[in-house]
Amino acid sequence: MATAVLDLDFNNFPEKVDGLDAYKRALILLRYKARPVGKIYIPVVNGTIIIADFYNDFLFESAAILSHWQVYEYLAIEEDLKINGYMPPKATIAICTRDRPQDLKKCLDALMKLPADGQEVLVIDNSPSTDETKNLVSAYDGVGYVLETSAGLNNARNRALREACNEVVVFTDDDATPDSNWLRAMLKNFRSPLVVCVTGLTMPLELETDGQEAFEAYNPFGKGFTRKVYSSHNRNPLSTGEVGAGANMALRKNVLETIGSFDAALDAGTVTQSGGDHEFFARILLAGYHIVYEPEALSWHRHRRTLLETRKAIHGYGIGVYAFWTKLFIEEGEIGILKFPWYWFSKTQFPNLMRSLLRRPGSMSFNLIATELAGCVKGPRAYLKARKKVKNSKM
Amino acid sequence: MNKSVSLIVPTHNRCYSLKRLLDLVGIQTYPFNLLEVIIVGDGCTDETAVMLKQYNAPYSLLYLEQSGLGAATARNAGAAKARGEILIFLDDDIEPEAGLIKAHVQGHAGLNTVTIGYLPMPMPKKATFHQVSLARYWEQKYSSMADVFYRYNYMDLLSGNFSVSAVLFNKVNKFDPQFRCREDYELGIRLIKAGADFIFLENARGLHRDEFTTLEKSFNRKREEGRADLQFAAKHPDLIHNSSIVSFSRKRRFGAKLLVYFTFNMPSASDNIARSMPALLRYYERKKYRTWYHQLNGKLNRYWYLRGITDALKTEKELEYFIQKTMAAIEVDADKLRVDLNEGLKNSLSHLNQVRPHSISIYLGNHFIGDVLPKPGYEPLKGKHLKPILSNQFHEPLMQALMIEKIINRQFFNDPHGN
Repeated sequence: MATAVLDLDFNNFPEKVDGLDAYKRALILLRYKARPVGKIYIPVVNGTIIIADFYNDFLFESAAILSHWQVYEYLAIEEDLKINGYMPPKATIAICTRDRPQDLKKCLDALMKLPADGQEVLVIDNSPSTDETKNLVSAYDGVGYVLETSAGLNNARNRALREACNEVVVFTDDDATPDSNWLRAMLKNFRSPLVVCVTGLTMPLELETDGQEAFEAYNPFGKGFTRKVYSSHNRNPLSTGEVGAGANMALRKNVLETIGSFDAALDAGTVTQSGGDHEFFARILLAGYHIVYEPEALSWHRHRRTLLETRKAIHGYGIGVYAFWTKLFIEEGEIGILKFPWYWFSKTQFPNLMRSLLRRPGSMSFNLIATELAGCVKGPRAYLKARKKVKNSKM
Repeated sequence: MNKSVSLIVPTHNRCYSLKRLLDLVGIQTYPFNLLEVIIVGDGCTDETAVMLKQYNAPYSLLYLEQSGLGAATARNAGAAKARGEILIFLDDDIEPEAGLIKAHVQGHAGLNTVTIGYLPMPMPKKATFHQVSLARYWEQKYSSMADVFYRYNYMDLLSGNFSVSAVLFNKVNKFDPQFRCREDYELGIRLIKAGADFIFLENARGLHRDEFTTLEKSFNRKREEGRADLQFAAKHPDLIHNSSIVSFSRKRRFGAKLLVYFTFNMPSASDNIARSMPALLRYYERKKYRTWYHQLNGKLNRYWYLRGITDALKTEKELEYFIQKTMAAIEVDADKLRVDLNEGLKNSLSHLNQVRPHSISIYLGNHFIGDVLPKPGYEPLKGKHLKPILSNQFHEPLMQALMIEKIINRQFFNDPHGN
């Protein structure tokens, strides 16, 4: 049975949530005065959640971050920050999409609800098979449409960076629904010139099917509820899995000059299937710049619905990770990457595989781990193949 | 806003950079009739003098020369000739933005203000590990000063881009010409002790074109810092803990002991080894062995710093004696103000703003929250300094006290079980 996804604020708890008859449990995003402070899974009994029964669990789950914000509030720190005089840059929101008008509509509807800070919205239609996306976009006032004929998510991202009018380009996937504070939360982090990228917190929009449950269990996008600043100084710049994801990220437009463009041989639309965002994050850190993880930049992502799609996606992650490692090794000469496959296998994949075989509680599906491993094996060849294709198409 | 300004730039054989700076002063938004520029050539042997003679400036331009006596002396010489009410000091490798002078002048609220400008360092393409570390170091320094709650200290006086009223500069008796390095921190501490108000101005901005740093130069600089820190500690004993000198005292670990022993007893042999190391660093960099690079680089920096110390003190015993003597000279000021948050946060903070103590004990009614100990070299406490201290350092005791006093509660929800 499915999991209900709820969004509750400490300052505004209902007595109970009912009408959840279709669900066995619930994933609750806990907020304090709109700021995300934690998430928790709780059981649903008879289609109802009595909040009082779990209130202490909620407090326990989010205690540290909750008290951080409460003290912050007591000290009236927010008021001091307001007089700080920082004017955040203007943004272009870019949605790279391909033949998913239904999802795109949801995403655009959410973007229309953002407070107007002079942002531009651009839809990059990536080698579409129909006119549907174009027609949909024309129904929205002030949303720009760009047709990118060369297939590949990274081509679309590069196009967005070139077409954007504003200083910062904020990317969202077409199957994501950003929260109303999403954009502002992203933009307030660009004060330092060394910060060229901000990533946000991504939560599942729904967990209705086995496929979505499996995906969330295997690969939760959320990277916690504390803000972090990543640089080559505090982490290995080659290891960027924890930094965030391309579905919810903001970049300075001038990364095209300082970092370079996204690698057309990586990510969706090519045989490497993913990895384009993480490879770019690695190049940002290698060049000496910083990446901020901002949990207040919240977006809800609709995971793939069927188990088959989920399996395909996770297979694709396996390919993508090894593909981007291959790139860093052969093109950037990063010898340090050679220890990563062993680390990942011995510290994560192999123990998970064993736990799964022994049917330990909370273990992951054996099938998914195996399919990811199969993807990993294909990764290096996939990258070489994709690179060749890109080179040929340029000639 | 009609104060006269003297812009003072010490320079040493960087004709190209200096000309770039002069050109950019020519597009400043501050009225030229209120501006004079004083260039102090410090032992220049290149075409600087010729360039300046031919330079056609739209503002008053004065050139002084001295024979390699160091930046502190050069700045003093410039200030001695200056007629402006406000002195702005810039380094010669800076590209000032058009509003820099105006921003500095606007930052001066009274005679007691010291304004510190912003020098972002553009990250070069294909930056070396060294350049990345440098850019990070500077940006961290500036971004912490940009924080509204920041408590300034003497190390924030960065001589590359700051301004001070001529009155205050002369009152604290200028730069100390004895210092060939650390002269900025040394002026900083005297300004702080004289009650100067430091203020960081993000819009007094100039790009820092650091075109001249090499690994070898930065190690040389470390050596000078070691030497200067001894001088500094002798003059300001209470600040010895902010330097790395004490970290060489009575080493327990074998490797560190060995390093100290060799540096003191066989300096020429260890110098030869250390001088060959940059080649190894470059090899690590080519191979992208980041961790090894940073480890070795850190060790070399420590070595050259210690070498600077050994230039002045010949034996380990002397160093030990120096440290003991300096620490004995520290005077402890035990004056502690009691701050009660129950008076209302706003009241407690504004009380602090009036008294400006160095050290406080924080209470919330009967609950003891914590002691803020005196921090030598830092400006006296203001109300706003208390906020980050309370929210980071004393988070736990404060939270507990606030909950017991029911100022903060977690009863967002009426719990029928009475939890």
